[in-house]
Amino acid sequence: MSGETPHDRRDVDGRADVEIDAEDDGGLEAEEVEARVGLSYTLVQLRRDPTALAGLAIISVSTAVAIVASIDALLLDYWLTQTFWYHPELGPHADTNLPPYGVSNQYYDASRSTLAHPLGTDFRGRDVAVRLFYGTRIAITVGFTSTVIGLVGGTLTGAVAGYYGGWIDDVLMRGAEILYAIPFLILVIVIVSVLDPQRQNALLVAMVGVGIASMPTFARLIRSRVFSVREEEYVEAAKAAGVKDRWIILRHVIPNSFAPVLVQATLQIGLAILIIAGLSFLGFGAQPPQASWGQMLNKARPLLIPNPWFSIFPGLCILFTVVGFNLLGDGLRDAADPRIQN
Amino acid sequence: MGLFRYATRRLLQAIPVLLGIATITFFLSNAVPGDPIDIMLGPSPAQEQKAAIRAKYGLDRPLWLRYITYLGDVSPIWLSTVDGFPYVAPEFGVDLGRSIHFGAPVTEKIKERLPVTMLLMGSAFTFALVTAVPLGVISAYRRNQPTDHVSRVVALVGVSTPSFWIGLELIIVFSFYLGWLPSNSLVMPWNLPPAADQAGLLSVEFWRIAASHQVPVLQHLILPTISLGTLQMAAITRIERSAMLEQLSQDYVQLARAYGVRDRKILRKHAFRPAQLPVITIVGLNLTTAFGGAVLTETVFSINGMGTLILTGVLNIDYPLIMGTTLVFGLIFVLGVILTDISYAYVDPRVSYGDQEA
Repeated sequence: MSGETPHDRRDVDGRADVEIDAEDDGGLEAEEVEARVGLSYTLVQLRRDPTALAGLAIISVSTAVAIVASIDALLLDYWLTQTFWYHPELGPHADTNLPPYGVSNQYYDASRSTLAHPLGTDFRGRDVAVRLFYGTRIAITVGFTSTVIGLVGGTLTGAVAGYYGGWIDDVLMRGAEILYAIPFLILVIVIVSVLDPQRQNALLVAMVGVGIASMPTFARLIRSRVFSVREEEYVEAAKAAGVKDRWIILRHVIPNSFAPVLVQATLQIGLAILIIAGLSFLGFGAQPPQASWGQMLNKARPLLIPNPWFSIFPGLCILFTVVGFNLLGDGLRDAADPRIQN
Repeated sequence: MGLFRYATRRLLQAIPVLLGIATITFFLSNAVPGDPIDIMLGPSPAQEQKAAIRAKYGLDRPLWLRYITYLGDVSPIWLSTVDGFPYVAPEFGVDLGRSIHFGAPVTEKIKERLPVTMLLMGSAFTFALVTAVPLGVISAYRRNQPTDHVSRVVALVGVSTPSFWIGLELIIVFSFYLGWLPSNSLVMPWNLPPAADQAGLLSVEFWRIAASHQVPVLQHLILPTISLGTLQMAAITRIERSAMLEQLSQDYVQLARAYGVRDRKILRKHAFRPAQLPVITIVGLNLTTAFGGAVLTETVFSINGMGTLILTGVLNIDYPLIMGTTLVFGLIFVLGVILTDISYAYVDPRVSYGDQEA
């Protein structure tokens, strides 16, 4: 394969390059080459990948749980969980000072079932299972929101830096470099303690902080893609036709860089869930009455030895959810890369 | 020659980054609401006492003056200040200020804590590389066979597990149920028991004590190392596998195969070296994630390292401590990335430190 023509960009997903010489692409017809790039092709490929579908299934389940929990908390004022289960933050035994009980030695509640607390109760007599259920809500919300913040902020900065180049690029990329050099977790800890010393909205601040801290990753990715898209003829043409820069970036540059960003965003959601769990564990994320997995692990720490089940289940929940995002992210990456197909 | 010039240029490029880190941490930590003096002196301190301490730490001066003084203090070589106004004078050494919480110079605290974190990180990355590189190579070599599937699952679970949770579970199993390993703090390999000093450096007894001292050192290191290193191990395994797969599909490998070179030899002599480039990159870049992980791991295992030091700083609104530790983290990261770039050339002879084009 020669592959030296400036038009040959089959490795990336640029849609403009249909005019590839027939012998250049190993006998594929032009339409076939076009069909091999782009987002729709990626999604078609994804359907053939069982691991990616497993990831998608995990994400769907977690998101569904998160939506049910959100509706219950925001619209129904915990009516759903209280009727069929227990209040996640007050719990059935919250006012008693009884010691925590494990799976083998539960509170017995005749009005419900013999297995009233399948995963035991915590140090305040709250049901662990219902708190885990509610923890999904925080994890999913925080993961998606912070990634959207990082995605939008990073994409815009990266696109502007890559499109204009010059000193704007220098300033923005040095900024990204500085942001990148401070450890992610420490940066967010400092941001949380600056913006919310009383930790009233610590989770919200942490979410925004993780979003800001993930901006450099997206900015770099988009910037390198912009460098290649910028030289495309249709961008030249748009410029010559007097289209505004802002419109060119939004209409041509960003959409043409979408596939790698989607891969990164999927992986970033998993990472954000891990980081927020770590922050909550240190006390800089979700705060005590809230049912978050990291917060539950924090409360499990002093009771680690007598009550190990406190720490086992929240960790497994984090693991399960993050595995889902990583599976889908890996699947998307493979599907977006035409070289891997056979 | 090329190496020296390249390293110098990279170090010069690092200066604006470090300046940026110093600036960000200065303004961020000074924006922390609350008064560190209040925290230090308790609920209702006398006004004169407060004023005296504010003056002692220079907190009574305006923000911009403090910023300039701070930059002058942290710059290692030439900038000096009188009442905040910079002038060029040969002033050597770094002054990171005094920690308000500890009442001691920040540099002193960092000197005390940094070796602990470095030992932990070094041990974690050693563990990660020693396990991940063979795992990734075997995984690529036996692609889509059971070995590959197992190693991919291990890597997937590794990148998806919170490091601090691994630490908690390891404590439950190995410290509590099995009672094999200690669960708190580290023992430094060079903190020998007093009997060693009495024996003297040249005696056989000294070396016997020093050797037996390494047993508790290792025992304390094992659990935190696994806790911190698992994420790195998994990340490196994934990179190693895909890099090896890419090399194995290259034309030169096909050619070697066609010549009848045996697979083992192809792996060892041809494909392995070029596949290490992305691995080197990821190790350099993952230094920051590992620092974040160190904060969590040190908390779980009650280790007095840099991570717990910065947490102490944040919880006590100790500006100098926050600024100093963050700056040191940034410095190590920048140096790590430069070192990564330099080590590229050892692996890839085509890299020429970029001075041909100049």
